[in-house]
Amino acid sequence: MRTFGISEFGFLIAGFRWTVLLSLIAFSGGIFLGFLIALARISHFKILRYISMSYIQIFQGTPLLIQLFIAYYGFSVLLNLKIDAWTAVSLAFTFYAAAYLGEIWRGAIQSIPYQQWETSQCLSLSYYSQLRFVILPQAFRIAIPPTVGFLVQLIKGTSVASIIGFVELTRAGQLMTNVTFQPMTIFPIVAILYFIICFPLSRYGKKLERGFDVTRGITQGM
Amino acid sequence: MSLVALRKVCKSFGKHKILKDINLTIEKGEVLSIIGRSGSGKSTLLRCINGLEKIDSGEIIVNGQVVTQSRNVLRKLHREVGIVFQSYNLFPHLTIEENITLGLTHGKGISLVTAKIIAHSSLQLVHMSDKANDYPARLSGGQQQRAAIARAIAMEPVLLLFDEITSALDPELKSEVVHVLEDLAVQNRTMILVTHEMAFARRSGTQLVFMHDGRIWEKGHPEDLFQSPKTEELKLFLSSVMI
Repeated sequence: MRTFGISEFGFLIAGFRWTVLLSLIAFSGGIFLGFLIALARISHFKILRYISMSYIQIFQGTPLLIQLFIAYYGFSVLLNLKIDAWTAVSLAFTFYAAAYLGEIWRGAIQSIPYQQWETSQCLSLSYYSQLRFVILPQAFRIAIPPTVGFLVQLIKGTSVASIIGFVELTRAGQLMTNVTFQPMTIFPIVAILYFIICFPLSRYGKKLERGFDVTRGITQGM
Repeated sequence: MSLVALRKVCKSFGKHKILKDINLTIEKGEVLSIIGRSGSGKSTLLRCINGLEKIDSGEIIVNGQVVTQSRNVLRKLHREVGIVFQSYNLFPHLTIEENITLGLTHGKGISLVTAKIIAHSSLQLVHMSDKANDYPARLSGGQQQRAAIARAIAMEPVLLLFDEITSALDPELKSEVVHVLEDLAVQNRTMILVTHEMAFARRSGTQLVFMHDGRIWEKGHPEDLFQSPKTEELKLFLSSVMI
């Protein structure tokens, strides 16, 4: 039996790196794809609205774990394509994040009063300019708290990837517990490692939110 | 040719007929005030003129162009027709100057440097030069509405529409906005106002329209309508607003 020491801690840190990397992939992929989904949700074209809404409902209506299994086994069973756990979890988390972020941003965009659309249209702005200069900057501020909240959830949610054998932080903790039998040394360390990325992120979100508050809390005449 | 011509314009929301067979022409330089009770269709009429509402039948011609719902037609129309709303609708995340330059740079394709010069001269017209760098939320209602007027006139439209722009303001703030309107009327701009400012309509208007039940009930020179209304409805309306 091993005792918990530097090399065991190093193993946790290695897993921690994968957690961070997976989160970054899911963030950036989810932000990109989620933005397209939000735009499709408010599109003038019914078909785009329908497709994006179905996408969101499928991903919100099924457990993340099942999505992981399908991503992991789906490729080999359906396409006869062997993919590793890393590719499977990256894809699954990206699509999962996109569904939630898309819906959060759709809500933020639609919470902007329609008069802002109307007024910018009356200044002869194109649809793109309306979004770019009038709607999105306002929606962005509204979207910051729920977006950061979701991203924090997502980081913690990456622990689910341990189920399909992907050695991220949680899985690394389990493995080290198996060889050291010191769960109450290892899991608190694992918890602290999660905390030191999630906590600053939440704080940063708050700061960002205040930074964009040009109305300074005064309600604007509608 | 008239700057604005409406022929047999009809519009309903569901089963409710809002505009019934509206015929109206406005010449260049005219100041037309539209009065009437709420629900008589005044605002809808104004919104139809710049394409914010789709008409069911009839025809609207503005500056030689038939108003349709096509995006290109509307974009061109909105370069020529400015509108100011009751609720100001300034962009809260932009300064007053940015509120004005946005339409100039991205609506009309004017360079930012020129746009800023235009913005400042429009702000001068509404006596707000000192507020260029303020955000809307820091301004009073009257100041916000004057900024919205500056934003509309900066586009140098051939026609200005005003949709009850003083209705959300306190009496003292109303008067500063009405002063601006009077300045604009003197400058020979073509304007259509949906308004409850009877004194303004009487003093500065060249044409007055009284709407009732979705129709143009009476129209003519403001003084004639105020002095000798022909219909019972206008008499009643005037007596209710001229207390």
